Amino acid sequence: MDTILELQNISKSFDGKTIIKELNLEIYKNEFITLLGPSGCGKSTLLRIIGGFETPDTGRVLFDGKDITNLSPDKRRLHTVFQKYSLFPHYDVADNIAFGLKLKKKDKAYIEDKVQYALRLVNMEGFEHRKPDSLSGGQQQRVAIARAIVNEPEVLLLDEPLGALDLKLRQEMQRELMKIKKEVGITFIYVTHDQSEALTMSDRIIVMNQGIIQQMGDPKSIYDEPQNAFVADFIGESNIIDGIMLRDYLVQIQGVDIPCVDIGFAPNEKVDVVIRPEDLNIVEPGRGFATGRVMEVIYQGAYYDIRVSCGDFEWAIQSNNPAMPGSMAGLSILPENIQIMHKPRSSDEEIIEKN
Amino acid sequence: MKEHLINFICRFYFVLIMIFLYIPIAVMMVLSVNDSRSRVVWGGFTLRWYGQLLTNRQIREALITTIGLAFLSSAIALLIGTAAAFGMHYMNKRRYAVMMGLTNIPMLNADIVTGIALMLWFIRFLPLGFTSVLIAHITFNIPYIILAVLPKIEQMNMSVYEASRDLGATAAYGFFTTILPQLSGGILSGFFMAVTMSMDDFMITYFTKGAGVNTLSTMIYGEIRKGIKPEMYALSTVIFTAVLILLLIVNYAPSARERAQHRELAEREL
Repeated sequence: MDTILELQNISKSFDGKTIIKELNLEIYKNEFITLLGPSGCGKSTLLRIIGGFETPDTGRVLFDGKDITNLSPDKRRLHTVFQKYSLFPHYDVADNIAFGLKLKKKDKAYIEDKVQYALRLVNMEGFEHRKPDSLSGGQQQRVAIARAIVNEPEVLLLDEPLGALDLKLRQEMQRELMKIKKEVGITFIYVTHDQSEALTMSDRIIVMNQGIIQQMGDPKSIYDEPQNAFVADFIGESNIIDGIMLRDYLVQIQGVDIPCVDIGFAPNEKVDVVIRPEDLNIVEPGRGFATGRVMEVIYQGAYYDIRVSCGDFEWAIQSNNPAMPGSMAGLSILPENIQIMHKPRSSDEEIIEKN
Repeated sequence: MKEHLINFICRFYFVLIMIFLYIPIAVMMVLSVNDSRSRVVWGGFTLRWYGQLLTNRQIREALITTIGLAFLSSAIALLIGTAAAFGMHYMNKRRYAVMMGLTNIPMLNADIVTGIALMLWFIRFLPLGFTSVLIAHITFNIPYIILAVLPKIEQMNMSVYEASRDLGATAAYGFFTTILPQLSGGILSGFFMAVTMSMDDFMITYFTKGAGVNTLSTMIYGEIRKGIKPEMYALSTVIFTAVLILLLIVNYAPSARERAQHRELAEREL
């Protein structure tokens, strides 16, 4: 795959607080890559460094192999869709979209054509002469996307563009963004703290925390095989429990030996065991690998959120069937749904990327 | 009954305040159209005094000086004050507080102190004249500009500016197309505030003007010492009306725009 952007050894701090720590990343042509992490993890700062709005303290940004670290935003062949309210309020929709083309001194007919194309692309035909403040949040973001795309950037940066929208509209816009991405065929770098958004749209997800890449990979591998407790916890809900890897294919949790599919750990190595709530099944007490008392049952619409207390650990289970609070229940799990992780040596240990 | 009484007291109090505030000005306005040199005899309606204002060379020159001074000093203060407001916005908290204090002191300081201090300073370096008054007016106008522009800078939406840079605008073009329009309300009200303050000033002008230069206020003061003439009533009425109109512009223009915006928003909600 062709690399379009390369970040080399990027560090950035504000007022002595480290935001990004010696980060390296390669971004390929035409991929939909998502920077995912909690607020303050450095994802937006990283995007601003790529966009040219911040200069890194150390490191370089390479675009098509050329160093653009100190290039101002107006000279970069990439465009940004900001979080919100970035349309020019005193221009109408058409003038907003034409802003970049007019600066490039394109002729009138060309601009007119491109504006119409962009409006069609984002499903906003007929809105040419509306002012931004007469549009809804979703419509404003569509115009912002059109305004960026019309300049034919090679990379589009999106900084939580759907963050201010309600859930329903957000899901609709997610599908639309994927459609637009397919149509224009350029690289999308997307920043979000919403894990479901990342899982839905991305070719590749970069999970960040404390200015460090915690894990990168395609959505399925991030969800199914989290490399550390942070990723497991951040991407969906997880049960993370201490275990001992007795030997290949056998892990011990709370004194019970359970078959699993993981290999390559040292005999009797202490590990973190990750089990997704939806992978646990409730069975009769005494069967399964653990038995405990049902503490809480909450109806969530699509499933029941059930808490079962076993010894000093409380399991989270998502089940289609309710359980009786206060009753005893057994828990079972399929071996392939158990994920074993090395214990981190330090709290913010960097996880080696897995490709 | 009790309610009636309270109601009456409230109205009486309000009327009393209005009388104290505006009756003197009303009396002066009436006298300005009184066809008699006496202050107690009504001699019929006339615009004679206003006519004499136009033909009096001294008054005309003072008027031109006043208006020229007001607009020129406000324009220069606008440039300096807006730049200062930007600088202050990007300062850290402590420096910002210090600068804010330094901005407020000249406004609270007695005009006579400012006037004498500036005079002492000027006579050391340049002859008193139009230039020295201009510098003095610029000096006391800057804080009004800062105080009007700074809140707008603080509310400013930077992502529009970044968007313009992102789409290929240079720093200057981005500033003029995205940032300046956002500040225009504050800049306009600061400018008219400064114009008003400049036209209104007597004390500082009096100490820094030197011989030969007169604004309306210093000229009126000089005339009145020789004896009060009805032309001065007419002139004062003109000044009052002008300042009133300016103040109405300052207070009403931005809020009218905001009201229009609110109306537009409300209509959309429907």
